[in-house]
Amino acid sequence: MSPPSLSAILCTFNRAELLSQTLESILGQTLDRSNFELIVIDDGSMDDTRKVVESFERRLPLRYAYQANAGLASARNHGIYRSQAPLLLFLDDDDLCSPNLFEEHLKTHVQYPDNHFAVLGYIGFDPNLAQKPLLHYVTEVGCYLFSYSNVKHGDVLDYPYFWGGCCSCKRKFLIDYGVFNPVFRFGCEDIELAYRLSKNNLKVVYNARAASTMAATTNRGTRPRRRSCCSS
Amino acid sequence: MSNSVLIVGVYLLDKPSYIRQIKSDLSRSSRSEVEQRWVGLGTGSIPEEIADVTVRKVIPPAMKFPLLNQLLAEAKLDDFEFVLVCDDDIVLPENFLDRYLDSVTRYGFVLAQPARTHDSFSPHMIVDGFSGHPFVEQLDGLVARQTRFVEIGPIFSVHRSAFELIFPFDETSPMGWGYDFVWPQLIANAGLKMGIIDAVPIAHSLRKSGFYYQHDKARAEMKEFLAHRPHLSPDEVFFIIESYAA
Repeated sequence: MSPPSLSAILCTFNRAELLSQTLESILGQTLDRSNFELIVIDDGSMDDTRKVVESFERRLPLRYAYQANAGLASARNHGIYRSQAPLLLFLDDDDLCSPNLFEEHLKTHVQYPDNHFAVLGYIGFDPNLAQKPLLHYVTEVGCYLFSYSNVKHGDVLDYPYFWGGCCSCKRKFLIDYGVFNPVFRFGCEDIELAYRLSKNNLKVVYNARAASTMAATTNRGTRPRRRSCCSS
Repeated sequence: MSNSVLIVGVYLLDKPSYIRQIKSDLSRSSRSEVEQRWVGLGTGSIPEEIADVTVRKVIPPAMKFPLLNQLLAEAKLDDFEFVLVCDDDIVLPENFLDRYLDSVTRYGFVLAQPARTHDSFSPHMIVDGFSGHPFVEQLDGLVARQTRFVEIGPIFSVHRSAFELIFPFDETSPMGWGYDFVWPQLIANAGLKMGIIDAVPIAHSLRKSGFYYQHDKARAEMKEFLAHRPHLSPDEVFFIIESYAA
């Protein structure tokens, strides 16, 4: 059996409720299920994460792997090495994927087949998050987080736009030139890797149609993901 | 359960090494009967603490794997459950041998290696066939993983069920270049398992991997070696087949 075209790597830690929404959104992907696999790396969750994943096992081409809590970089590396597809898409556990998310990433990689091209998708916010003044400030004014104001669809960008939770890249490029540094348990693991990969000419193609939405949490607020080209 | 373990290795007499500490650490197993057989390579004197496990001194030039073959040929391999092949420039964690062999046995890896610590050299040279790929760096949340890749050094173990597959080492590549792409094919064909033990990582940072080798020569040697043997490509080996956490 030939491997799928795309491996989506979803690392999660104690966010069973959000994870359920994320998995629901993956159910609706337009990309044929024979063409992708979903790898869920459970980074030591103590909640119902495993049960949630199990409830989707018959509906998604899904593989679950548990590890003792070790942080996002280690979890992503675990996912990279478990993956079988030539393209890797990194997802976060609060992403609600648009139906064509996987397909759009794949399309852009077909257009840019060289190994050094990665793809950046667009992440919007749940309306409950978007109306918060602080989020408006960090995304639109200070450009500290998810700053898309300076990029347009189709742009070929440099390494600071390799944002962990909404980027895809070629597996071989990582295998040949480097994976995440496990010292970074949460945050900056993406930009640090991208900086190293930039020595091998990493370029990031922005596809605004590869969209997802960051879900609002019910009780803990937004996980502080760093997604900016301005703060690197 | 008590294992009988043969440890073979080559240590350098004329360069800094950790051979004294390694010999001492590997002797302290509480659950294995350990026999160590080392070759001292160089012109210097054999350290007194190592004399009892040094089978002979060899003046360079001499290649590593033919020397290891001699050590293996002189031993009664049937008496051993495991052979551990060890270099002289690693730092072992506390109670290494017992913990390592526990995991190797639990997961049934007939060919295995410990992961490397994060501060070990990782020169990203595997495309050229040298050791030190990030793939062998410790994955912090895991105890072990079944893989298609075990390096030719600095330390690896072979279970008796794979002795005939792995030994004697093929001396057409006397420094071992290319073995790690042939081994996974041999192990898979035999329906056996190989893997990496993350729970007991070793530090490999005294001498940079491949530093003392002529890379062009090594590359040519590996290419020639692989040309005549079934093997996996670099694109086929860096996969975790199964991962195990505590």
